[in-house]
Parts: sequence; C-alpha cells; structure tokens
Amino acid sequence: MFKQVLVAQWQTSKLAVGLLTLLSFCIPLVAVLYGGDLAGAGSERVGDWLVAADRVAQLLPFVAVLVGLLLGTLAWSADLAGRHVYALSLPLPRGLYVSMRFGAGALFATIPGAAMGLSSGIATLAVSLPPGIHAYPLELALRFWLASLTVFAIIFAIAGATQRGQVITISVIGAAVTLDVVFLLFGVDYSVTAEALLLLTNWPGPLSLLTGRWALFDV
Amino acid sequence: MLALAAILVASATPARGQSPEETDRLERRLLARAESLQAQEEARAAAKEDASWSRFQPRVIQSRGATLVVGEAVPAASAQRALDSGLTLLRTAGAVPERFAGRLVLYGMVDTRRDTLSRLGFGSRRLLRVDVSHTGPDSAPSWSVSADAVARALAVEYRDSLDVDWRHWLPNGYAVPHWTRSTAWGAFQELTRSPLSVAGRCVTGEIAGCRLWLAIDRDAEPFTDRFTGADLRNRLREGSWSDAAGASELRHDCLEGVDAACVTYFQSRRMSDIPAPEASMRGLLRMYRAAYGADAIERAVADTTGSIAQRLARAASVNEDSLVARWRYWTLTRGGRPRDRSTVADAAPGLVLAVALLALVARGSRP
Repeated sequence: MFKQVLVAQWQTSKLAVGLLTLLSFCIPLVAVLYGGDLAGAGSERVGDWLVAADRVAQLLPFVAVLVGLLLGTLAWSADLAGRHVYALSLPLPRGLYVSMRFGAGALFATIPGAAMGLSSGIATLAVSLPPGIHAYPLELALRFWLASLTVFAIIFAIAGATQRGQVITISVIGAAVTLDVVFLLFGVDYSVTAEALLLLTNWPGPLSLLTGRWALFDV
Repeated sequence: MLALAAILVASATPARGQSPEETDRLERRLLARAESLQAQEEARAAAKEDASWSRFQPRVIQSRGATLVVGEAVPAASAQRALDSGLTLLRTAGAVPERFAGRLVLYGMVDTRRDTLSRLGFGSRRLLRVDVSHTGPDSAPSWSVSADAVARALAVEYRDSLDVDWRHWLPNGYAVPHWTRSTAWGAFQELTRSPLSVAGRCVTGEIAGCRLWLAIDRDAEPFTDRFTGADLRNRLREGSWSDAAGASELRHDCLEGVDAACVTYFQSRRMSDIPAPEASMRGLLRMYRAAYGADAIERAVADTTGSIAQRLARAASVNEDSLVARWRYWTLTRGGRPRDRSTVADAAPGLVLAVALLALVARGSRP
C-alpha cells in the first residue's frame, strides 16, 4: 500500500523534488568557484574566501525551508483536489494513511539532502584548505536534511490538520499579529511575533536548527 | 555711560552772563545725573550676569550611590535619565563596578567660582568632569548630559585606577561597546587584512599567533616576540617618525634590512610595546561578555595577578587557549555562534515537535 501512496505522491511532487535537488546540488559548488587552492594563500585571501563561503551558506536554510514548505503542501494537494474521496475509500485507518503520506514526503525530502551531501563532498575534495579552516560536508548535509524534515513535518501537520486545527493555528497567528498592531498603536515597545520567533529559532526552540552555522567551510 | 557723563560735564561750560555759583551748581547736578545713570547701568549688568550664572547653579542628581551635579540649565529629568542609563550601561558591560561610581562626583556646567562643590559637601570625593552638550539655537539652547558621556567618564576614570597591565591593554570606550555588524566586520578586516605575520598565523589557526596579535601575554621582548623585522620595517615606512639623536642611523639600518636595528630603534623611542589593534581588543571583550557574562568581565578587570590572558581565563574558569580560539572563531565568523552542539542535538527539539504534530494529525477523525 505504501508503494501506491509513494507513486501517487511522486506524481504531484516530482517537479518540485527535481528542481530542489538541482538547487541543493549546485549551491555548495558555488563556494568553490571563489578558488580552490588556499593552502599557501595569505590571510587576506583566506578572509575573502571565508566571507564568500559564508554568504553562500546563508542561502542554505532558505532552501531547506523551501524543501519542507513545498513537500509539506504537495503531500496533501492530491487529497485536497479530490476532496479526500481517494483517502476515505481506502481500507486504511487514518493514522496509517497519514503516516504513509508523511513517510513518502520524508523520503522525497531525503533526495535534495543527498544531493547536497554529494556536492558538498565534491566541493570539499576540490579545495585545498589552510590548517585553521575546516570542511563539514557530512554535517552540512545532515543539517540540511533534518531542517527540511522539521519544516516539512510542521507544514504537513498544518496542511493535514482538521478544519478545527487549522482554525486554531490561523487564530493564534492572527491574535499575535493583532496584538502587535495594538501595541504599536499604544506605543508599547514589545512585539509578540518577534518574541515568538526568537523562542522558536533559539535553542531549544524547534527551529533553532535554521539559525546555527551552515557554512560548508568554517573556522 | 562714562563717556556720556564726560560729554555732559564738558558741555557744561559757563554760559555768558552766568555767575560762578550757578555754574558750579549746574556742574554738580550734571555730575550727579551721570553717576546715577552709571549706577543704574551697573545694576542692570549685574542682574544680567546673575541671570546668566543662574543656569550654572548646582542641581544634585543621585542614583544607586552615584552623584551627578549639573547646572540648572540641564533639566533634572534629563540628568536623572542620563545618570541612570549611564550606570545601567556600565553594569551591562560589567567593566566598572557599581561601588566605584559611589566614590566620585560627576559634574558638568556648574559654577565652580566659589568652591561650589565643596560647599555642597563633595569636597572629600574625587571630582570628575562630564561633558554637557547643547542643541538648538544659540539664543535658546537646550542643555543635556548623555548616558554615554556619563559611562565614558566613569570608565576612563576606572581604567586609570587599574594596574599597568589593564591601563595599557584596555581600549578606549571599552565600557560602552556599541557593537554592530559594521564593527564586527571591522574586527574581521583588521585581522584578515593586516600585513603583520602574527595576523596570518592567527587566521590559519595558530593560537599562539592569535595571543601575540591580541597582546594578552606579558611578552618578555614584545618587539621581537610580536613582530618580525619586516613588520617593524613596514611600520617604520608607514608612519612619520621624528628621530632623536643617534636614532636616524638606526632607522636607516632598519630600512636597509637590519632586523636588530629595527628592534633597537623602537626600544629607543621609550615604547614599551605597540598596542594590540583596537577593534580586536574590543571584539575580545564583546565576545567575552557574550559568552561568560558581565560579571566575568568585572572579576577579570578587578584581578591584578598575571597576564591579561590569565586574568580573563581565570575569571571565566576556562583555558586560555580555548578562550583565544573562541575569540578567533567569533572574529572570523563575524559573531557566528560556535559549533558547540551537535547537529542532532540542534535538531532534537524540532524533531520532537514534528513527531507530536504528526501524532495530532494522525489522531484527527477527518481532514
């Protein structure tokens, strides 16, 4: 049964997976375009190279979010288009069906992660680093995969939630934004959304993975 | 006014047919009139001067044991805010102990002609001048003291009260570190673009090179330990140096490539050392405060035993080299967070949330 779900989900997700895989493969290689032989380079060149590698790395969390966002919404798109008739006609409990959809999406999220691991490895082999600079190809690929998986899980849960769940989610976000506007009108220097974002993106916040170090080549 | 009186007296020449008595009377009357006019003018000038000095009448502001005396032209609320905020800045930076501010009296724009501060009972405390700035047109200026000025004045005074190692090492404005992306970039540029060999050694991961770059050790021979002959030669070429007697020969030898002459030349200038680059020192303090807290800075600055590296490491209970390595990482990543947690640990909270959300979705009766 999982195979059928996987094949059905692939039909809706294949274009996105293909493009995201290509993007994930290319970005780590861009860092190497700035030069490959740094073993005997002066500190000025090493510094410039580090800045370039850092700038490239800044793109990676956005790509991870994009992977999670697209795969999370596409996981349910067929069901939404068919008004859940296919899902309800299957002789499966809902829990199992949801797990299969999630498993298929998680598997697709692995493809861009693997592409990133591969290109990071190629980029690492292509450069000659000075003693104080290190490459983290495996760590980067793992981070990318886990971050996209986390975002995918959140979006998957929101998109697949019951109407009540979706209303609650939208109400919470709406209430936070309304409070911000009220605070702004009364001149109160406090933002609920900013505080919430800080909580979410600082460890042990669930999205702290997105704000850590993403550089393939680091100090 | 005196000129007017003189004109009046001079013009009081006896008219034809006037008796000498009448002339005397007229002269006396005119003289009295002139004196009266002069007295009035002097009173007006005195009143104007008093009014002018009244804005220098002392106004005493106190906060957390610290005292600020400013002229009445500075609004009390503004002065109170400046003192409170200045002390908060220092407490946040951890660079000046709060009790230190209690030993001083800060003053600015006060009439000190008649020993005003002693009469207020502040004679026994050390007086410290603080800048009072004005805005608006000259006809109606608005006077104020800034929190930054209060903090800087106290920090400079505190630095001057410390032992020679800290006095020599602590950079200007160390207690009011306005650290922005551009200052982080400045520290990065300073390290990576420096022509000094120790900078290159530091960038490529040699911690000993970073220590020499930061000048945090008591180097026995700072000029030979921290600089190569080529470094000193470059410095000599870049700067404009006025030579004392006999030094020009050393300078010439140094520029000709004799390394020993370079060292002797710099030593002959009564320089104990060349200070570490300022943005790097400020960066070390900024990183140190972010990593170990303001209390650690306060402990380190109060410490008088050993080198700067030893004091900083002792106050933070860390190894000297790991402290420097952390600074190097911080500088080269322009404030990046160290990789002190594994990726899986970083991802754990997100994955726990993901599983919880999945369970919630799976339990729902229908989408």
